[in-house]
Amino acid sequence: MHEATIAKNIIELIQTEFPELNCKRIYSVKLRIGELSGIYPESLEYYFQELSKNTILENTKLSFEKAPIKVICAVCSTIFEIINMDYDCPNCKNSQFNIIGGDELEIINMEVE
Amino acid sequence: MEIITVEQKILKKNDEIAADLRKKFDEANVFVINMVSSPGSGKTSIIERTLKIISPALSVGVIEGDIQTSIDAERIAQFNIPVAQIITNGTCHLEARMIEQAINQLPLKDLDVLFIENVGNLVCPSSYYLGEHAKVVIMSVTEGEDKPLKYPAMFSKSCVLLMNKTDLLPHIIFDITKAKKFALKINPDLKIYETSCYDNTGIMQWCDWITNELKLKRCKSTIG
Ligand SMILES: Nc1nc2c(ncn2[C@@H]2O[C@H](COP(=O)(O)OP(=O)(O)OP(=O)(O)O)[C@@H](O)[C@H]2O)c(=O)[nH]1
Ligand SMILES: [Mg+2]
Ligand SMILES: [Zn+2]
Repeated sequence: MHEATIAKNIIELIQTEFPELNCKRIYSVKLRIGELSGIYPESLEYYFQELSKNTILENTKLSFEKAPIKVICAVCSTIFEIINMDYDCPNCKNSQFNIIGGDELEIINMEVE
Repeated sequence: MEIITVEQKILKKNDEIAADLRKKFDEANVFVINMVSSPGSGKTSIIERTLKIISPALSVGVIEGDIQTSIDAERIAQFNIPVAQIITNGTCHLEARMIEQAINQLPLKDLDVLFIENVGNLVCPSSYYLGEHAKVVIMSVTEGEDKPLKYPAMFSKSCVLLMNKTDLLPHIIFDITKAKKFALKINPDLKIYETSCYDNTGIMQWCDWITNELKLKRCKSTIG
């Protein structure tokens, strides 16, 4: 829902942390986006293309790695992945768990020419 | 072609500002609560009810986040307590840098408790840490039992759930036991209070939670 802000954050982060890339061409940026983050890749890509105009990231492509929802059972501490909240622990069948992964919003790497 | 490893959080800058804010809050000895919910679940009403009980015994400040208007800030200002307004101009959540500016308008050192009313939205605010000590999520009984399962990020990061508007229960179809079960499924440590701003149900218990947390926090800071 806030893809525009996230796109701006990506551009600012790369500009401030990698000033030496100014003279290079950044071919692509790879992101890790958690399934719980509420961020849609297509929408992020759209805002990124718009907001990166006239920066070193103009014409840079985004690629995405999805991070699954990971939870830990509240009873037996088994860690398992789920696709929605309807799951119970595969080990002890308990229904309660704590969410430990799935809201990632990270830059993994960049391909530079 | 060369691959440069980055491995950094996109919201790194926000998290850094939030960590600074947290330091400021702790130095000022103020307990900060980030109030989140869907639009209209009762954030402002809960703050109003709470002020009636804990203020002026406790010195309370409020930061009001709103997409467009200052209506909520005006409601709170009637209590003659310090209020700072953030109008986000369409942005669907508060960010740490907005709080950094807002606290310049508040006498932080004189406050015991600071409420931050976030923008009404159950998705985006969950990604933005504001330096708060506690996230409190409000869900009203008119929203359906399944909200914790549909917005797990927000419900799992909160330490208190206020199930609000319980005065409406006789008029609607809502299984409150089921709603609580769903919330505890994804956050077994969640504290749940049933509240009503209409007949004041649960408001006292919720206020007790605040004063207890404040005591615990101050106790820790004198020992540590
Ligand atoms: N019946 C009933 N109505 C309530 C209760 N709490 C709030 N309301 C009403 O619900 C509406 C929204 O309440 P607000 O306190 O403005 O909600 P909010 O979450 O601050 O709304 P936004 O800031 O716009 O997201 C108002 O008409 C309130 O009077 C309650 O416990 N019972
Ligand atoms: Mg409000
Ligand atoms: Zn288990």
